[in-house]
Amino acid sequence: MVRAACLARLAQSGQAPGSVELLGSLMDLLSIGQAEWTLLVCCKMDDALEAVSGRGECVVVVDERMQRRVRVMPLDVAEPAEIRGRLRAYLTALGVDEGLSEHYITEACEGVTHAGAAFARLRDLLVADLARSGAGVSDDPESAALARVSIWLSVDAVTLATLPLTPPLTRQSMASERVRP
Amino acid sequence: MTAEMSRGPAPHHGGLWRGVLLTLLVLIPAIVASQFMLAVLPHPGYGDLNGALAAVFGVLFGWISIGLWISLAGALSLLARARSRLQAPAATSREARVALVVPVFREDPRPVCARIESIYRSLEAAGRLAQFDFFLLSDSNDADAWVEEEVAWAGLRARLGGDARIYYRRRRINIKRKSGNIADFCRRWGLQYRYMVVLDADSLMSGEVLGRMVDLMEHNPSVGLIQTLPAAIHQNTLFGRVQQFASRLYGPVFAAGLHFWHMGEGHYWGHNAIIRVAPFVRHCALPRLPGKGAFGGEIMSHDFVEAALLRRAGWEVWLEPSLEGSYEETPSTLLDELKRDRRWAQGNIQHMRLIFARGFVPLHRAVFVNGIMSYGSSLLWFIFLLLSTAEVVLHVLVPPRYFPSTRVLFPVWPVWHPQWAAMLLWFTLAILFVPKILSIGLALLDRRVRGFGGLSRLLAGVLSESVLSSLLAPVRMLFHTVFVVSVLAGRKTQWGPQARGDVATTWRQALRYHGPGTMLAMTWGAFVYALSPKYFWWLLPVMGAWIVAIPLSVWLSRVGPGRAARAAGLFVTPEESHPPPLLRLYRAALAAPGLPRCTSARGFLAAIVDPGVNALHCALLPLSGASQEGMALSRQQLILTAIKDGPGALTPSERLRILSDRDSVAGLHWRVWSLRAPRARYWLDEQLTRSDTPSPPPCAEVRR
Repeated sequence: MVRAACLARLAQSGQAPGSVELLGSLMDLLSIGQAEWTLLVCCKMDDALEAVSGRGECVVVVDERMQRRVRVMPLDVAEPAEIRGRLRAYLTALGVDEGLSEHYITEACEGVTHAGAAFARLRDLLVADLARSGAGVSDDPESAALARVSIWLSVDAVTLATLPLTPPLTRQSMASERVRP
Repeated sequence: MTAEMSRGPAPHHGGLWRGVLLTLLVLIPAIVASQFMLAVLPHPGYGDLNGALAAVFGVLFGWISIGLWISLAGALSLLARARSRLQAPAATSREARVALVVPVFREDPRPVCARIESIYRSLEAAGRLAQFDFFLLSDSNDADAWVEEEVAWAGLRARLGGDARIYYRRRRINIKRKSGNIADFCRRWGLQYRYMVVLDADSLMSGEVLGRMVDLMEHNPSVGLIQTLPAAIHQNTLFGRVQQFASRLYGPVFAAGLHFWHMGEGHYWGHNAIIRVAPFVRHCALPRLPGKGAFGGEIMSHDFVEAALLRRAGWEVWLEPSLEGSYEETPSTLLDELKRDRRWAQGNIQHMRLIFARGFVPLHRAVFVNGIMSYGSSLLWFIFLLLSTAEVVLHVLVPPRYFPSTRVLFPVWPVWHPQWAAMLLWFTLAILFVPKILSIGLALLDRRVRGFGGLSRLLAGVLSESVLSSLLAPVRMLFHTVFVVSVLAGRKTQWGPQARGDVATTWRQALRYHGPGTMLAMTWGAFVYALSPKYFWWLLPVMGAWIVAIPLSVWLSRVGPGRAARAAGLFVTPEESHPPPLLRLYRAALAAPGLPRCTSARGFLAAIVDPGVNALHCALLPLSGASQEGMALSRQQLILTAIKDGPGALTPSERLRILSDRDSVAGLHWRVWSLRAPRARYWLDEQLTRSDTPSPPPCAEVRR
């Protein structure tokens, strides 16, 4: 439904596909984790709109005045075995041990139809594990990043979270005197 | 009590009488030499031409004689074991906080971090680590360089432990280049530090010398800056080894001389120096110079100006040659050196606008003039050659004027005194060689000869270096002349990364850069030979050097001849004969493995694909703030392009825009790992996507 609404809005906006507004609306879909389908890329006014979904099916509301050929092709890995394979490759690259890796894969793949959803769930699992370890986390990219850095570098996440990246800022001006040629 | 409040009185004209004396020592012989030149010239009838020749010769003679007086003073100071004016007791308080700042611009981060690691360990061994914080200040405007810097920095932190105070900061907008980078540090964190030690990406300093510098600053509260004399190290090409040998042998004498003449109104070379932060912040803000072209805009050679500004505010600036344990790497080929000189030429000539700026001490105005003359002298030398050729042309083609003025009873005969000319030449050469002889003598007296491979090898090295320097000087002169003319014509140079490493000059490059000089030499030489074969031999040292420049440049840039020279004991330096602990630490740090990478991707690709590098990059970015809708949508468009067409479709600036936004980097990371072939293969290794079964996309025609 989210998808359909967005596209309907696009159609009503009267903007040529490829404009910033159109892309922004499409990105709304991309960025919503719960979106049923992931979308897509668009192109110029006269080109075909390239719709990409996890299922390979599409319902598109188009401008009533125009008929448009819509090309649909899956964006994400959709085969369950392939999704598992991709997750396994990811976790192996990150350095997660095999047992934990299988646990993550099983949890992440449960009921999902495409890899985007599986990776979103994996991200949530990593953040949840991080939260259990005692590090103060929130559901944002920082927490997911912290979790992955912690695994990659084999450093305790709580310690990692407390390391200062830079000293605190103590701003001052540097323009009190000037040289004049 | 702030450092500024507690400073002692600074002598306002500490080096004034020395400056006056040096000026007289340079001016008087220059005038005498130009008069002598006037007498040597055979045609008194060519008054204007002779006058111009003598004037140019006088300026050049004065210019080279500065080196003589500096080295003489330096040698006498070293012989007399004159103690530096800067003194500090052995035991000092260690309360002062010191920031060690390393500005970098698209450098290879591994050796940079290895240098920081070796300095860190050296400070630890010297018991001074607690005072120091380290800042890797990046101005890199390249996505690949940025990511690799972060990974190298994280590896450094991982090796040195979590509590190592080594920080990384990248500026998004690198205005005012290196000086702006340092100023940005001062604005953000300067209040927390009493001193900062400024290093270049290729600098190394031992813990002992760093501690000593802090002690000197603590006990000399009127001092704003202390510059060390960095010794050149780690050269493998023949060119680099010759420069390294020369700077190591002659450098200390010159530095002692500069110390003697300048006192507390000395030089700052932009790195390997300690600066008192509070007065630097207060007095050293650099403006953009008004106007366009090479003379306007940002001050390129900022270091001279910063030293002058500090001194103008009453703070002393010292070049302290006794501080050993300070190192740098120099360009390894002639072309690399010349590329650097193009920037320096512009920066130094830009100082023309500052010579008469309000409030600078005379010696710092002289430093500006000296910097200008470093390149301007080449133009004068070239003009001298042109004028002397014109003299020959007139001599051959135009009948002598026996009565140059009307009120003369007797004719003026053209008289050529070749023995006088030879005497002048030999005297000029002697001036150039005295510093070398003094340096050899001091090395003998100080028993430092063994460090240079023994006396015979030292002498052979000096002889070979003199021959090579004589060949290289005219080549440099020609390039510097072009640089000066192009700067005066308003052509600006671009800011590029410093060339490092031992990349040999190719024949094509040598032909491209030295070919015009070779052609000029052949044409000019043939013309002069046709007119006057005798005069041709006077020009031969210059023309000959231009003619052999192509093979010489290629040969000198190679590592093979450099290693052969090293094996023969030629151009050996004390750091090679007896490597100090710091250099051993550096080699160990360089050999240490970096962080294990999750994938084979590097640079921008790693920041998107590699789970570890992506996480690190996200963690180092600030939160994506609420940006304008247009900016956010434009960024989303970039992500769509990246998904649709892969990284190859993104321009360098688009890659930087993606890397600058945490949500974009994180979002693209997860999206890329979800993609199926063929799009996934834009990003991921084939082995990661091997199990995919890409199918041709179904097409649906949607009609109303």
